[in-house]
Amino acid sequence: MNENLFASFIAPTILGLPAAVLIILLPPLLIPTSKYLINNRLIATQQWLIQLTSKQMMTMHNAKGRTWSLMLMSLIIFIATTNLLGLLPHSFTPTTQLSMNLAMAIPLWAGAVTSGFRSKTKNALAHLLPQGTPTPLIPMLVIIETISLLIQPMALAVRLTANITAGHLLMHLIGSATLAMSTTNLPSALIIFTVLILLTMLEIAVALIQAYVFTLLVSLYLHENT
Amino acid sequence: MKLYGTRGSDISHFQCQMLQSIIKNIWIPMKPYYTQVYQEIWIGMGLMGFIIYKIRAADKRSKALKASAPAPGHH
Repeated sequence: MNENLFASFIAPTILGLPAAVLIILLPPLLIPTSKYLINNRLIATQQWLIQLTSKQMMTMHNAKGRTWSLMLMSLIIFIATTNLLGLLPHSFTPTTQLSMNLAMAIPLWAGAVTSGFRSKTKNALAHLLPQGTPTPLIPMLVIIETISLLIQPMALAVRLTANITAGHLLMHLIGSATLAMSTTNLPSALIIFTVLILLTMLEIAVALIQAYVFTLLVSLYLHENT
Repeated sequence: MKLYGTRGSDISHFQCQMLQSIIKNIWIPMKPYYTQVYQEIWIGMGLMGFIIYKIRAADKRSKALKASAPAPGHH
């Protein structure tokens, strides 16, 4: 049972070669690009969604921050499509792997922080001490703020990993509970099946929300540093 | 006029076309991003590569240590 439960999180290989690369390259194929101004309905809907998201997310940035629009929009689209595709049965979700989420979080966080230290050094260092701190507390608070700054990429990655992994595990468990109860006690199996349906709806929401939270936090770190 | 593929050491015709297509479709539109906007992200990727290297080296070292000195009580 233990082996079976975590089997869906093992990175798949085809004859020893990692198939995870192919799986990560799948979502961009679902979002076609077009060189025409007026497109078919699918591309027009996708472009409308991307425009809606980018307007909502990038209005708070200045000109320098808006140069990151392409990166942030690609990020949210990638995480959202990957998470949603992972809700299909028997599929592999790359965002359940901590390695991949760290690979997304560390360069983006380091990029935002480095750009802050590079362009506005005094401002970036001033973030390490909140306004109105009593003087005796200053050394301790600087240490605490530095630690909270350094933990931001870890928190970003672990948040996404834990949410998606926990959701998948819960669906797996409740699904097997439904199956096990269906032979012995049918009414409770139906109740558990209702729970499974509600959980699936929650997971769809979580998939989109986690993508949004990840990108929003990166954009907040960027906003502080530009 | 065949400028490439005439000597044995040149890369093939299709590989040249692919390289030209990559340069025209990806590098030229994205050049200001890769060269100016994402400079700090490249630094972040270097930091990530450094972390990966450190983790792999530590893992290799611990595996070598375990292999060279197996603990008593292993069967």
